[in-house]
Amino acid sequence: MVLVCASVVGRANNPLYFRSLLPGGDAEILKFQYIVHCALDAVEEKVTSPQRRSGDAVESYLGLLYPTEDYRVYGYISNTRIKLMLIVDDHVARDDEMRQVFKKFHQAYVDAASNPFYTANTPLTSKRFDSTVTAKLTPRT
Amino acid sequence: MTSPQRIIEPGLTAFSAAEIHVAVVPIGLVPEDLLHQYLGLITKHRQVDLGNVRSFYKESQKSPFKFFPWKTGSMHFRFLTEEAASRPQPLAGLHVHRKTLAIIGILHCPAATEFKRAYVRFEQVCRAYPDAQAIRCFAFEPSDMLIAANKPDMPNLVLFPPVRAGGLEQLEGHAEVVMHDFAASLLGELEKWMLTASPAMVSLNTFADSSDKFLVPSTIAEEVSKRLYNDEEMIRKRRYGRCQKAMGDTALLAGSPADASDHYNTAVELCRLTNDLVWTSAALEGLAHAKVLESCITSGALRDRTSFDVATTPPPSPNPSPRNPRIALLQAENAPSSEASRTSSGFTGRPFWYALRQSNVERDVRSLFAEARQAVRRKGAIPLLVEQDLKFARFLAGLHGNKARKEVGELMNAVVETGAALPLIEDKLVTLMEAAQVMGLVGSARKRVLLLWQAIEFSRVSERPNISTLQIARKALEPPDDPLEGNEDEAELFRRKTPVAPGVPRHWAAVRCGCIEAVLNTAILAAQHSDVWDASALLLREHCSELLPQRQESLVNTLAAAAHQMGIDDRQRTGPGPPPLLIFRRCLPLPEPLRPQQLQILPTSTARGPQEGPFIYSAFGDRQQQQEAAAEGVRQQEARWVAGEMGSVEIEISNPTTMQMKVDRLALEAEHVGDPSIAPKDQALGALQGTPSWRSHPVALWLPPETPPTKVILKGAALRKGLYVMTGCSITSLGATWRQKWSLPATTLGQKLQASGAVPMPSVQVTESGGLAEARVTVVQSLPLLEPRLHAPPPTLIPPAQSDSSSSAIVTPEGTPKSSATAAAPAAKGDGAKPLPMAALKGQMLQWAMLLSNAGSIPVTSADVSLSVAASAPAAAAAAALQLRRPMAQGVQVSVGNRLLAQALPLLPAHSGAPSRKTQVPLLLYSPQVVSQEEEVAWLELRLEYSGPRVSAASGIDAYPSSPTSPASPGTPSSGGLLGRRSTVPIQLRLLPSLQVKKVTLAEHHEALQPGPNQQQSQPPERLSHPDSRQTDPGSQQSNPEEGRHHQTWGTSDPLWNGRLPQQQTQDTRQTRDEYSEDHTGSQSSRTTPAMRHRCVVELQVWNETSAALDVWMGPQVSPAAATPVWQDALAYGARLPMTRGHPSTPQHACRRTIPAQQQAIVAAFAEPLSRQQAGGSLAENETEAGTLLLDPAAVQAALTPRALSILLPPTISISFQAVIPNAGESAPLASYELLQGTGEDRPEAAGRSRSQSTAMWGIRCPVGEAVEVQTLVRNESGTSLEVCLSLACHSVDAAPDWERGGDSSSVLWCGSLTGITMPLGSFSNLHNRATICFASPGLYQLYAYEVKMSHGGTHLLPSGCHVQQGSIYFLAEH
Repeated sequence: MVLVCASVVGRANNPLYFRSLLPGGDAEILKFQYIVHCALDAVEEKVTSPQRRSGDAVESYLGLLYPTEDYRVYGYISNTRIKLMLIVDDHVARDDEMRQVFKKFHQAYVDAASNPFYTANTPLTSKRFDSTVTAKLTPRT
Repeated sequence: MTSPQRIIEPGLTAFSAAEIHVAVVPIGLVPEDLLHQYLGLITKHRQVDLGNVRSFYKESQKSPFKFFPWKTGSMHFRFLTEEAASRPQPLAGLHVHRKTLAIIGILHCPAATEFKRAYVRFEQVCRAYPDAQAIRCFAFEPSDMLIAANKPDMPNLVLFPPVRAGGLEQLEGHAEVVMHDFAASLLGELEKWMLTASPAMVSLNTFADSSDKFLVPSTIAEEVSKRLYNDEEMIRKRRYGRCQKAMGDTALLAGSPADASDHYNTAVELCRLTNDLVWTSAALEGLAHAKVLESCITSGALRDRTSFDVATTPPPSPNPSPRNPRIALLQAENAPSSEASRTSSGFTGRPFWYALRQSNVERDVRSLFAEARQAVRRKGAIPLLVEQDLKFARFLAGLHGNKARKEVGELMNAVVETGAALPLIEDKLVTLMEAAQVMGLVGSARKRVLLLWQAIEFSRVSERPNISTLQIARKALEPPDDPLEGNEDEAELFRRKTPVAPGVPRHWAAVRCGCIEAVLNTAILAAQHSDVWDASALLLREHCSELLPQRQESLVNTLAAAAHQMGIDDRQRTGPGPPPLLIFRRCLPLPEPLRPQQLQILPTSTARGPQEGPFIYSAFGDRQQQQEAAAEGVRQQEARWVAGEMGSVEIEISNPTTMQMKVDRLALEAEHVGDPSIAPKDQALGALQGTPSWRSHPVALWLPPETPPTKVILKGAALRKGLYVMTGCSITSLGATWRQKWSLPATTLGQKLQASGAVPMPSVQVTESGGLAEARVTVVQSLPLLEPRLHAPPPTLIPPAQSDSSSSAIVTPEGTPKSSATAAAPAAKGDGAKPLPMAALKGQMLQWAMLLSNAGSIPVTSADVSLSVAASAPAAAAAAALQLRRPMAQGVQVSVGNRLLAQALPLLPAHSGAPSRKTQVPLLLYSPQVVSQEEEVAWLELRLEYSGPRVSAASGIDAYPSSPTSPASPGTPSSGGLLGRRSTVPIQLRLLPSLQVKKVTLAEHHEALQPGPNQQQSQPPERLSHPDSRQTDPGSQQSNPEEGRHHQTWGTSDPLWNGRLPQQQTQDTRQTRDEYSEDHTGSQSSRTTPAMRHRCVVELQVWNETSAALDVWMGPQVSPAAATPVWQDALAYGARLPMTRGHPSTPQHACRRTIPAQQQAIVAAFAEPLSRQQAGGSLAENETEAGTLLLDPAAVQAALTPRALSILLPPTISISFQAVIPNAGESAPLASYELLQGTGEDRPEAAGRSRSQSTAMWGIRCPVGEAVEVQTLVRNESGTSLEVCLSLACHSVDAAPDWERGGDSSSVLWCGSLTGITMPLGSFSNLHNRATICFASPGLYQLYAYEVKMSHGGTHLLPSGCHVQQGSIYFLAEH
């Protein structure tokens, strides 16, 4: 599994953070933008019609959102309706592994959002968050 | 067979099988505007009811349809352009509805030089459509010669009546008849084909049978199967099955789905039997179509649709063509139906889908489509599979909308995956685009954008024409279609090119910028300069913050280059453009004097009072008043403009780019929405007359880089009455002109968060800020415009330093625009009007005039001028009031000559050249201020209300009455009031001290009454040697013509005669009365003072504080309030003001004295009743200035000593009694206590009654039974002869008075006249009346007079006009 793109999407489905994790991946950044943007439709579907029984715990991990020819988009939604989305390569990823990755991603976001100088639902420009995401989600197998 | 470019047809739905393809071909040159108008007449009839067709239908053969729905069915047309209709249809053999079955030519006769050649051209075009079964050539605007000519060689020619000759209704009706006839003709042809159809006509080697573009290579099993079913019988059945399929298609096109179902069922059976899988699938698909159509007919969905759309769809704004505006009007009126039927015939709309959803047809359709897909999948006909999936997905989207998103999404994923295997590039593209459109129908707008972006990339990679790629890119920017309305592919064929409109949500700027950049790059490659301009403008306008400065600069250069390349017409862009951005703030109300007001120019008596109604007290009165006040406040804040006059709008302009921008022209744009008082049809006709409704006032600007929102005031004039909407601004810059709509104002972060939280899924629709409620302004009809000028004579008494602006003859506030009211112009500058500074002397009577001239274009028929004194300083002048620190003047009186104004009406406008366009209204002010000698300030408000003639909704301005109309005349204004204007001029009137009365003294003056005319004209004594006098002007004495007359008065022994009445010399009132009583009761009959007259002289020590000499005298009351009625009458006939002509009584009662500036003098006059005494002053130099001052009541009171009072209020008649007892001589008078003690009782009530009856109580003692001679002395103290009639009464103080009997007859005996004593009395003369009285019993008796009546020359004097001092005498009768 190779993580190629990480994204944080706000409550109004506006991008808060977008980063290509591929070395020299800026060329495909627009394509990733389109893919993550498209995957928001799947997020809405999963959020509005969750396939779980009554009494089940609310699952933050949304699973596979949108498969394309080359990539797959996985999603995670926080209690504050912040969406964390990751694009992985075409290899099938295990859900347990993706959950762990999303938990790290979420923790990094929580740390960044806890900054008293950060205003909620605004673009994340923290270099620390950027370095954390780069360090924890860099392509690895 | 040539290889087609594409197999899959875009925009297919479950209803496409029922639509007859009709090619609409313009023949020759048809102007674009007219072509769209003619197309509107045709495309209006996309759905034709069979009931209407039946009257045109000729049953030439037996109908092949067994279940033809003549009453409920309908035929449907799909109109295609020549380009779309001539495109090869590879599957036309499989589906009959893919063929073009009819052709309609459009011929604009005035543009066709040779009509016959044009018709030949039409016939040539028709030959390109071999399947066409109905051909018509519609010729519009034919010439008279063409109409008259017989055209046997043109069987398909249909002439439309000329618009100018026949009118709109005839043209519309003609089009309806022609289209019904066209449908009937087509129906006949379809029936003919049905009757002649045979299996022999069916080909077994169609495109769907053999093409490798359609079918995947067959497997071995299929080859075996093909040989197995290839015998003769199977071929015959296959032909028959395909024939049944074609007949089913034809029946569906003819509008009979029940017959179509029969044929489809037979076809399915036969095709299954012959293993003809493609036709089996097509027949199953056709059967599904027939089921849906039948369900539409049975559920009434088609019938309900039309009425719903017509009723609910708002009509679009008419876009009249200058060449043929009447057709545009017709099109605008019929726009709802044509607009609704434009997309896919009549199969759209919410009621349609609701009715279809209720019919439970979905289950059958679902199973039929599943069967069909299964069959076609076995055959591997991928295009057919994609088409069926798309049709079914659209059907689900229409039925369930967003609820079907999941199912449709999965279906489209499969379509995209399947489509990737299509062999034709165009098919792949169509598949991507169709999948994107269908995803948009179910609310997956983001997936739609992704698919379209993929289509753009694929189109680029495939090296398709740039113009085709541009179309995809443009579609990616547009918002998704409405699932209830279907797609608009067909509409594009007839639609004009629209500017690039962003339909992608803003919240993901990168995606949106990517879509716009795709359009920009493709448009540059395709050399579509207008799209280049639109895309560049869109990027700069909405994504400037995301662009680097270099990119912004390159975009600006691109804009300029594109504008340079565009044609002249294209440079007038209809959509928005690049920055500057405009934010609408508010429509500014007109300045106060120009603002239309609801006036109540009514008499006060008819005005609605606050207590009107059956109840004296209303519990909700306060609340109603508050509500009315609030409503009035809102009304004042609401912007209402006047037709034809300039209005102002406050906007904010910003330049977010990093470059300096030059705006060559910035003009406000407004749209006339309509007038509620005029019928919509009349408004449309008014719009078609070509009269402009708006006139803007453009400005030019330079905008620095990154200009924040900056306030700018733009102006424009609305030329019609009604409601206007400020739609934006017209901007000319960078070589192009565009219409910039209002941008939304910048929101704070909290507002953004709130908005984002409230709307988790942002709507795709871009908020149109042009429809802001604040951007609307009501425009009333034209109103007259009066230009008032306040004319005040230059004051000569006030130094220039104090006189401010009032020194000029015509008071004109500075900076007054020519079109506005002169005196009220300061109101336009700020929140309040700056008061007009004026100055006057205290007590001065100001004679102002208001010159009114009609500067507008409407006559003034009613007007009212009022001048009121404000109770306090207005808010606007509060600062000035604080600065002045002067007390408020009280008691300022004003008067306005409105009667003269009423007689001058109507005031005609200036351009009429009539003499009655000007008038003058006199104003009078008076301040009788005397208490304070300081400078004071009065706040005046000069208000002018006027209106023009009433305007009726239909005919415009009513004829104003020729006769002068008084504003107070009944019936002129209605209860609702007139719409007019009101201008208010606040005036700050500074009242400067003029005369200061230092002291008031009253002196007694005795003069001898001598016969002659001078008796009544005697003058007050001149105080030549007054010790306080500092008068130095000797000429003033000599100049007084009355000076010598005072020598005629007596010298006097009274110390008061020559001097003032000193306080120490005044006597007690009691003493004075006693003296008088003694005088009357004693032997005063011998004392003769008939020639003496006592008068009182008022002397004022006056200080002239002005800088000019004042001519001062004391005179009777001079008040403008008293003079008003006479004055108004005089003014009405043009007489002069009488104020300066003095007062007739002045020379007789007072002497004038000229007091030099800053000096004091004594002014004297005979005192009249003190309450009315006044001092007056007039200018010696300029008699046009005059005034009066009231005397200070406190000073007068201080001077009003008892002695003076006794003189000022002398008794006119005094009645006293004298009793003589013969035996006892003259008795000594008894005091009151002696009288009371003599009765032996202490009876306060008796004493009290006695006291109340006489001011002096005295009496004598007399024995019982003796006659007492009583002498009644009546003295006339006045200078006139009187006739006195009185009666006497004497009774015991214990008994009640018996007025009837004249006395107490039981105890009092009389001798002499008792009642009705009549005595003629000369002036200052006495008369005696003698009587004898005898008391029968002891007691206290009182004698007094009653019923005292006076008459002068036969005229009875009222008791209030004279004074009677009546005495009485008491008798203590003792044994």
